[in-house]
Amino acid sequence: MTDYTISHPSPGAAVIAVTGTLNVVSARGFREAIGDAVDRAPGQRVVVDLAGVPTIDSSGLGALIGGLKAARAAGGDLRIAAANQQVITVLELTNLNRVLQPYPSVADGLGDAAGGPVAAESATAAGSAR
Amino acid sequence: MSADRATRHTGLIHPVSPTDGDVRALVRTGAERADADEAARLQALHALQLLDTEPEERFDRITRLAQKLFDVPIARVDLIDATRQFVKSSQGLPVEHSARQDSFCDVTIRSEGALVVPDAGRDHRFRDNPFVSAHPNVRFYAGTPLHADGGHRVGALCIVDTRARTFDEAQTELLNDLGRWVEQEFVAREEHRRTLAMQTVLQPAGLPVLPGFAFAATSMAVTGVSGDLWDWRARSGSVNLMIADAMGHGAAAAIMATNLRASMRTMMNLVEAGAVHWDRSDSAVPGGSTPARQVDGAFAKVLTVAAGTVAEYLDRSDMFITLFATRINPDGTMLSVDAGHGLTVIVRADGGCEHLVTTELPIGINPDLVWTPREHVLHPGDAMIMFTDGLLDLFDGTLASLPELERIVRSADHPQDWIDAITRRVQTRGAVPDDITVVAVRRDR
Repeated sequence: MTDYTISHPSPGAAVIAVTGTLNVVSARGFREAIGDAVDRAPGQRVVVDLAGVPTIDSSGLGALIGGLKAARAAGGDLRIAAANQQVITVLELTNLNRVLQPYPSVADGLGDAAGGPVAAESATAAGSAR
Repeated sequence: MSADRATRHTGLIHPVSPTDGDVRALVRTGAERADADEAARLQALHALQLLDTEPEERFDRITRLAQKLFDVPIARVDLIDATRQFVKSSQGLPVEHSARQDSFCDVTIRSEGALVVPDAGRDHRFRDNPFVSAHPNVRFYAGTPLHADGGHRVGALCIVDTRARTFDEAQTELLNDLGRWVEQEFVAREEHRRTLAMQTVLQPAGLPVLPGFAFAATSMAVTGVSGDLWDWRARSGSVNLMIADAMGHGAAAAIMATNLRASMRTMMNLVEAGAVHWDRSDSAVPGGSTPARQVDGAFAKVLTVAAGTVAEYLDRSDMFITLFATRINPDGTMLSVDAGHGLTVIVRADGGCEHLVTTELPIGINPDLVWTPREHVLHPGDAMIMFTDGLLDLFDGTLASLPELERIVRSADHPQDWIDAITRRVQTRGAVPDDITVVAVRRDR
């Protein structure tokens, strides 16, 4: 069972903490959780805390990308934080780390500069990383 | 249509004068209508393709549940054929098909609603039935009719006891519910088979033919219906080849993959027909302006236009597709576009092995994406393998397993041998971990 906890650490920001696998079974519920967060406060920054996600598959990725599009369409943004190596590898396989850059921690994801994404150069180095 | 059938058919629709006798001929008698209904019923039953098949777990779990739920020794799914009762699932009795005339379930299907026989020994309809007077000495029977597509009652889910019992309305409702579950299995299976058949129709017919090159390909799916696709088009002496993987698997992914296939095919056909021209201000393709280069240049546009066509659907469904498409010319030159797929390997005859990496995004991420074509050359003896990520799951699941793939390629000369080696690996594993598609090509000379 995959669970989502939504918190609001600061005005204009939401954190969705996910616990469990993001796959074809849980993708829809996860996507709805992002949609709820975006609808509740359009324009805010949504950080998805992936610390509790052991694995993700392409359906999970699709939900993340769909959430990213929804957040941006509402004038906000979506970031992912604390992803493990498996999740980062899946992102890199499809070069999706170029649009969904992983931040090392939720705090980094919430911040504006704070060192930037885990692999700022990963967009250009995606090939060699594989 | 045979001449005989044609004649009879003509006879049926021949205009008749409305005399008393003819009018009577036009009105079907009750017996004739019953015959027609029975023919339609049998057709619906046969269309299920369950007759003369082995027991299946999906039905057995329902009869097991019925057996426990109602605390009866016997629970079955019986299908009523023209003259026999075919037992699709049986608990408590060996699977023995029997004559229709002795079947309780045949009585059940003659009307809507469940048939409950509290004590067959005291019921004139069944008192002399061989299953009552001898083994297994049926006393209690309850059966709910099973409907096929179109509403025909093709069989029954039944429970049987060797002692007389009462069966109340709530229990009858429960039995009916289990019957609806069996019917869902009928439909799901039928739907799946039709989907599979349609996907088979949409598979490429045969392998590409290009003098001096050998091709082989395979496609395996988790659910039988694949979210992967590969396709090829060959004209003007070159082969356009593509492989793609729609996110997820099963019918949803297959529908989206089919969408992309149609768009790509349309574009490739337009390119080959010369209907898409290369505007040389497109800096995409280096090289001269020979007709061949112009086709190359137009090919580079194929993905961008096709992707634009499906982008709207991908957007609405939170899906994306990775794709690798390449145009292989007879001289071994290739022009390729790669949308986040990145699973193409060239195994060189001189010992090298190149993984064609991409830094470009999948289709469906951003509607304005443009993909940049890249050039490669296949020299004599070189091999190229294009695949979907399910193949990696046959090894360690990561790109670290690419050397395994290289070993397979170097172990034999013909692409079909490589595909066979991969298929054997899947068979050893026993199940397909993810949709797998592999397309292999070798330049012989």
